[in-house]
Amino acid sequence: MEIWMNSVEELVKLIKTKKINAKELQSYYQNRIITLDEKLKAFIEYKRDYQKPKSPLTLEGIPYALKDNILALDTRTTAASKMLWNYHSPYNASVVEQLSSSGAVLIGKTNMDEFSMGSTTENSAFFATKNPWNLECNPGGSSGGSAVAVSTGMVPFALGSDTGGSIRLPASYCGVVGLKPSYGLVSRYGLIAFCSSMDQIGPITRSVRDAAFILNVISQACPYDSNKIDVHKDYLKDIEEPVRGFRVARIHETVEKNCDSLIRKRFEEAVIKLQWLGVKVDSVTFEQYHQAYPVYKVLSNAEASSNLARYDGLSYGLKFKTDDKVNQSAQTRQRGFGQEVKRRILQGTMNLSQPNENSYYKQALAMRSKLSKHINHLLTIYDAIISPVSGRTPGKLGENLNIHQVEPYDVHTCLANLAGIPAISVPMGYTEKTPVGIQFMAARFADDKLLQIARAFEKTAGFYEDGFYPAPHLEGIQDA
Amino acid sequence: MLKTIIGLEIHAQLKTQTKAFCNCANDSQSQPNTNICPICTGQPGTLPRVNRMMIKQAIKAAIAFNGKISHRIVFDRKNYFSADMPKGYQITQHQQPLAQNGWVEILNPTRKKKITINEIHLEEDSARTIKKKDPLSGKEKYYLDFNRSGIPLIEIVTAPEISSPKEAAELFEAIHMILVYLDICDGHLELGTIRTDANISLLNSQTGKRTGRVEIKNINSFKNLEKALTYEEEFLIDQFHNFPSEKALTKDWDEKTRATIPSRDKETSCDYRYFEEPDLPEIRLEHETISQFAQQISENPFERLERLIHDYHLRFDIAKSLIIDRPLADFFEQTMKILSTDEMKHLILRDVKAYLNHSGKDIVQTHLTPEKLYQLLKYIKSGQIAPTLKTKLLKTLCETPKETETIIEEENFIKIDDQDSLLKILETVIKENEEQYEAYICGKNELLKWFIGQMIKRTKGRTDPKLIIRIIKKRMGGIE
Repeated sequence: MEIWMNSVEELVKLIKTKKINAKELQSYYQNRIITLDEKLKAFIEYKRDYQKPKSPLTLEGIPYALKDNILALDTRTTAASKMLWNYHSPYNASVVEQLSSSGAVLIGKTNMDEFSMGSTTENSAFFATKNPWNLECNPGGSSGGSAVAVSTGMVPFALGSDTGGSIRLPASYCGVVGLKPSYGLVSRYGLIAFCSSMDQIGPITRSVRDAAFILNVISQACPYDSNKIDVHKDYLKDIEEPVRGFRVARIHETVEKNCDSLIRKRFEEAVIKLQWLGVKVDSVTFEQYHQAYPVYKVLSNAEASSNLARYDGLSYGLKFKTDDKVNQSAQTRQRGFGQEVKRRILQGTMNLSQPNENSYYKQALAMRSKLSKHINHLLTIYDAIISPVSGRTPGKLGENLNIHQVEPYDVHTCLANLAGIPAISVPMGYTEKTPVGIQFMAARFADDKLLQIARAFEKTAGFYEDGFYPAPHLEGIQDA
Repeated sequence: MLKTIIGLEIHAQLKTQTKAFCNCANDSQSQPNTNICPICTGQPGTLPRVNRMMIKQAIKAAIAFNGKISHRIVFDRKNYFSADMPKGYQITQHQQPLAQNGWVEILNPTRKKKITINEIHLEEDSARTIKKKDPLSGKEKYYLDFNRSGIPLIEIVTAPEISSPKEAAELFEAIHMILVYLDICDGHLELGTIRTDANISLLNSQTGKRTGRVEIKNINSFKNLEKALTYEEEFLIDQFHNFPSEKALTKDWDEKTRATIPSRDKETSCDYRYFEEPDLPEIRLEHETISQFAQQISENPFERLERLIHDYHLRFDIAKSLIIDRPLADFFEQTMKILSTDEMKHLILRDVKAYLNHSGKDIVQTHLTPEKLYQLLKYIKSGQIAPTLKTKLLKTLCETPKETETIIEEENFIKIDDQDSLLKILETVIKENEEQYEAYICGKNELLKWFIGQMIKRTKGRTDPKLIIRIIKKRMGGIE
């Protein structure tokens, strides 16, 4: 067994028992990045020299990576956009402060879809990231770089951000665990905003236990995000408790339509495994289920059009130099934003515009509260709701660049963001070459229960043996 | 019959320690860009935090203007591009203003008129644009000073119930005074901490025909408001038939030329794409909180105005000029408790005021106390001090912390009224100026003044001029 296959928890033990020292561990991971990343392209930037841990506490110098839309001093934060290609972070995001005060060490910033807009990590202004399980496929997105980095052991864990499924989808396609915590559990201060009412930072890890371990650090108090609520829970405390007698709902609509047959098969197997654990699985119908995605689109584009207004080239970021001062900002935005970003800004602007204010945006808001109400009602009856993370397998690189022409990836994931509830993606098997995940959702701030049931499933899933998920074959990559 | 219809939108900076949504000092006057942080410069990833002091002060204003206060405090984003607005939107209150349907009385000696306040809402100020020559190229350049960015403002919107430019100025003055009395705005018109926009249109009350609206932006004095509106009123009378109701014009007030100039803004109706600020959760206001704040409000300036007129028999304009200077009004009332004679009133309203105007000081910045002033008056009345020395002594009282008695003794203020000493001094004058003496006794009576001057100089003003004249005439003769 190789060192990189270890969970964060195991690594901490190894350091504590002096089986390995933190400095060696860091250069070990840095070397893995140097070897592997040329082919996989998960990183936008990484540190080659030794990064001294700020304090030798809980995380004992464990290295980690950040999605490149989270600010950290001494790094650029680009959001994978030309607009911010030269933007040096002037402050630390709250999660970065928390992690570094716990002893973790940032060694790289990972690739993503530009401003998190996309589901493939191909919408990066710099380069596409490859899926390590099948180099011809995309890794999912938008936190694709973070998922690939963890899946291939270039870092023991990474942070991503999730607005409509951006942590869970790439975690699913890369065979790792991706947690989107409850809205308000983790501070968003220092996360480049896409859709402020749905964005949430979360960990991508090699086990459910690690997700809880990292959540314990990043859910600490922070005064900078007014929507943050301090819950004060130890997410590892009851994580191994049995789940016998739990009630879980599967939403009928999720596998009925537009679901890949292999994914459906894996999902049915997963349901049986849950039943072995003594979990009662009911099928429920959710009439308005398919409203979630269009509602998500209208609201997220609307908020994005406002959140991205600050990128005007006046005081930071890309600045298109022209004598035509009046149009300088327009020219900068024209050149700095990618197609997908511009498309969404335009749509969002239109959705907020007065003639439509009482139609699209307001209707979507009303529907959001209806959908949230319904899902919250279900979650008073059930401990969790399950579905495949996505009904689709990852596309071939290049094939999804025209996203609006194909069936979207995030129809099952965006509901959790609309309702602000926690959701997690846990590997449940393979399709042809690539892994695929099951999604669990729980009531808001029942992140502990969510992790408990996900952990129980992880242990039973069959291919998670001796505490390790299988890893992609990297020989070919390393040789290249 | 043409009727003038005027409405005001007053912006007042609140007197909080810190800015509206970050911890920077609320001080726009220091060196440019010294009171700034990632939040008020609109850096990516930053989030606003509500300043509770701002809410408290705004509620006080709402109470003072008799508004109906909303029990939910919600913020909205007003989306538009402006170089001085780093986020690309302004945080304001649109859908649910802090207070609605209030009223305020106009400050006028002859009649009272209530003007409806449509709404009072909170918002943030923008950065300041400074136009300066580039020292290298000599070209005019625009610079941004973010010290002002994010300073809390309240906007007070009146109903279009004002019927003349003079009335508009009186209303602006009344609102200004109330805010200063609430101690929530420092009221410095010249620094722009309070400023107003005004809109004006005309109505033919017989035909019902209405002109378009002219809006004048950023007026920062009562006089200028009256002047600008009078100018536009004449323009509208002149153009009554050429400026129909669907037309609108925006003009800027130019402080240098003291005239209105057509605004640089385009004449399009703006679509601000308002939506609720997702980064700020709503704040619930309890009844108790509001009544608690109401109790902290001290006397209303109008009540004080009436009291000053009634209790101290002051003229309206004198009383008004006194309450505008709140600390001086406090000083006046304290002194009146000790002695409320007309002499004392004159001493404060004429002499103390003259000193303050001349020195540019505030009464609290001087060492003057009611007790010291009372002693001064006592010395003058008893005849121990020549009235000519009053100004000089008052200046000394203001500038040193010593008691009146001590100053008078140390600095030789006591009047010289013994005739022998005066005669001695006169003899010296005669001895040294024989030429003038001869001329005088030969009948050149105009030289009397010259001799008086010499005597005042030599006694350092410590003599009653009448006494000097008497002694001169006694010694040298002359027409009684």
